[in-house]
Amino acid sequence: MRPVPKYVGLTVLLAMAGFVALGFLSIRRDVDNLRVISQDNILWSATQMEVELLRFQLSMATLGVVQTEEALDTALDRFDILWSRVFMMGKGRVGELMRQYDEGHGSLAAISSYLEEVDPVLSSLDPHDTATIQAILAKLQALQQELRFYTLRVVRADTAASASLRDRIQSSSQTTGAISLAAVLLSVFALAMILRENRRQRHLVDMNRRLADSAELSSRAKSRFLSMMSHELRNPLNGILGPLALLGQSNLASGQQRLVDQAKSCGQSMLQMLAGLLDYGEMQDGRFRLKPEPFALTTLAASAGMSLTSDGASAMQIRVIPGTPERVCGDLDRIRQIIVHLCEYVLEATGPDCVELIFRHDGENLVIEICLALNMPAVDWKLDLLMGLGDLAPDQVSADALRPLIARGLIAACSGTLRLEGSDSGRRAIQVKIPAEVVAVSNVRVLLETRSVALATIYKAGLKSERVVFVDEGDTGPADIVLVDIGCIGEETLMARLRGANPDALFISLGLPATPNAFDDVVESPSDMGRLRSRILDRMAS
Amino acid sequence: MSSPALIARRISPLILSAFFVLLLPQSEASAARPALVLSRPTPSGTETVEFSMAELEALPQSTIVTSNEFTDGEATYRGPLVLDVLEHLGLERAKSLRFIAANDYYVDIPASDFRRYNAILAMEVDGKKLGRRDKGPLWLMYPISDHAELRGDPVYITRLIWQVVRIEAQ
Repeated sequence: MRPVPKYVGLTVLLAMAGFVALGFLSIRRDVDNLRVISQDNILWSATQMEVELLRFQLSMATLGVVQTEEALDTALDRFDILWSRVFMMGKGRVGELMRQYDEGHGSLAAISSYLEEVDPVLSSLDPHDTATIQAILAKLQALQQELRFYTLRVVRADTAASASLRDRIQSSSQTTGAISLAAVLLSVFALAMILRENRRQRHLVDMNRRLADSAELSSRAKSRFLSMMSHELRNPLNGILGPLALLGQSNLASGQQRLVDQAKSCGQSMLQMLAGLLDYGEMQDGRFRLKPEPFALTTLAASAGMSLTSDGASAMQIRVIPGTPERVCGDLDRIRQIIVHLCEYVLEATGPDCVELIFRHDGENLVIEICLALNMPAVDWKLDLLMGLGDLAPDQVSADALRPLIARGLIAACSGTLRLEGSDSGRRAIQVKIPAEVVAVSNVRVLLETRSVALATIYKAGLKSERVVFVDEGDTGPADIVLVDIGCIGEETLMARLRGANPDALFISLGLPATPNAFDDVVESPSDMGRLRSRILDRMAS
Repeated sequence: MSSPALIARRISPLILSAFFVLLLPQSEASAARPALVLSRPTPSGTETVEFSMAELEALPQSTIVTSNEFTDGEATYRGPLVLDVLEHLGLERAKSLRFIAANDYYVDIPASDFRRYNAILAMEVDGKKLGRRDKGPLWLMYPISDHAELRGDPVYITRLIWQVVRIEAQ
């Protein structure tokens, strides 16, 4: 179905506007005609003149009979009124029309002429002058006939004017009817066009929806495939990395050791990419979920540094700005992935002279800054690629852009922001802000139950911290964590006593116990101070 | 509707009435007649107030500069406000008033017209007294030039009654 051309709609609109204008003008002309004809009604003036002439005639006849001064006054009064009627002619719009009706006949002209002639006679009329009165009456009789003819002319002219107006209004009404009919037809046409266009639009919407559904399905299938593939690849990769690690711990020649290290580095890098691809696939098909947990910023900094495998990573300076909260809440693994992808990309793509990774907290967000010192301005476009593909189509981008793509996706999933800052001196900074609440850390009370004082002293030295308070003999109050040396286990009365004295404490066995169920956590290797510190920090955060 | 016979039928009552008016005793017609009579019906009959020309001239005078359908160009009309005249018989709040001319022509006008337009009973035009031959001595005049809705409106053309001799409350 072809779309309705725009000019058709414009033409219909213009035609409708034209019809409206024509209809309005037609009705306005009718109103003006009616207004003019009602103004042009001279019949009343003509008949009034005739009546006043008759009244004056009667008053003169009465004067001729009674011959009194009062009758003369009445006659003069009637004369004045007749005068005011007759001499309206020629004055104003009404007078002009009166004159037009008299043109070619001279009836009013004859009357006005006679009134002017008889005016001085009446002024000096003797009521007993019967001859003059009779002469005036005779003349008035003749003028009465003239005035009657004048009135008839006015009547006929009014009739003709009314007929003309009727014809004009009839013609106008026919025009208005034709215009209305045309407007209705045009409206029907416009309605048909609108319905046709509406049907076309709905068809297009349906088609677009089907295409979108198809594209969505295809995208989900690809994402799903990506997720499955990355998942399936990680298992054999771990199978490779494990033996490599064991091989690396054996006594190898330096050349072989270097090859093993290189294989390990590549494997780690591949593992990161697979983890990123897995997350990216989950983000694409909507299955991605964050796992926020309290973690120490030092842990994040250390694990990010350890995960970097590129050349130059070993020279990277990592530091946490003093005063930064010890622990925040966030998805540690995803944030580490963001850092690793960005840093690896920067190291591989730009080869900076100096890289610094800085962690701080601005009160609401965890702020990670990757500061670079560059000697090659030409690599700017590579840094710009961090912010997005720009005008490039996805198929125009090389595999280099994969890490920034994954990092941007993870940052967006964490509701964070990515910003690229620069200066003329060649220093550039990539700033990532991710919302992360500060986790309040309080002191934790630790009770050590060891078989010997020497062992307790070793643990105290290893776990020493400003936040850790060791409970000594004689201290009152329950402990938060009870570390129990497995050499003490077997004495059920001891465990019962400890549980009774520290009902809410976390019980951790130092070594593998015979009854693991009696403990909340087990540290199989008693010398694993890192694991112990992590458990203590988690307890502080909770 | 506008045939000569019909016109004759319409004007014959006027001719007859004029005839009977003329047959009234001449003493009544010629007595010192007031310039204007106001009247209103009362339960006991009719209450009237009469004005001489001097009394009308003594009222506050207003001026209207306007054109109309019966004169050429604009003229300056002067006379008392109709509302001021009507107040003498408490007619300013009447719903409708009948203005009657010396030739028995009359027109009914809503009193609201006089509050809205400040019409006057013109006694002078361009400084000259209106005589009987000049549509005087009293000509009801609206400020037509000041109000677009009055110009050319046939209703207001008929309300410009001249030679006014009587105003009756309806």
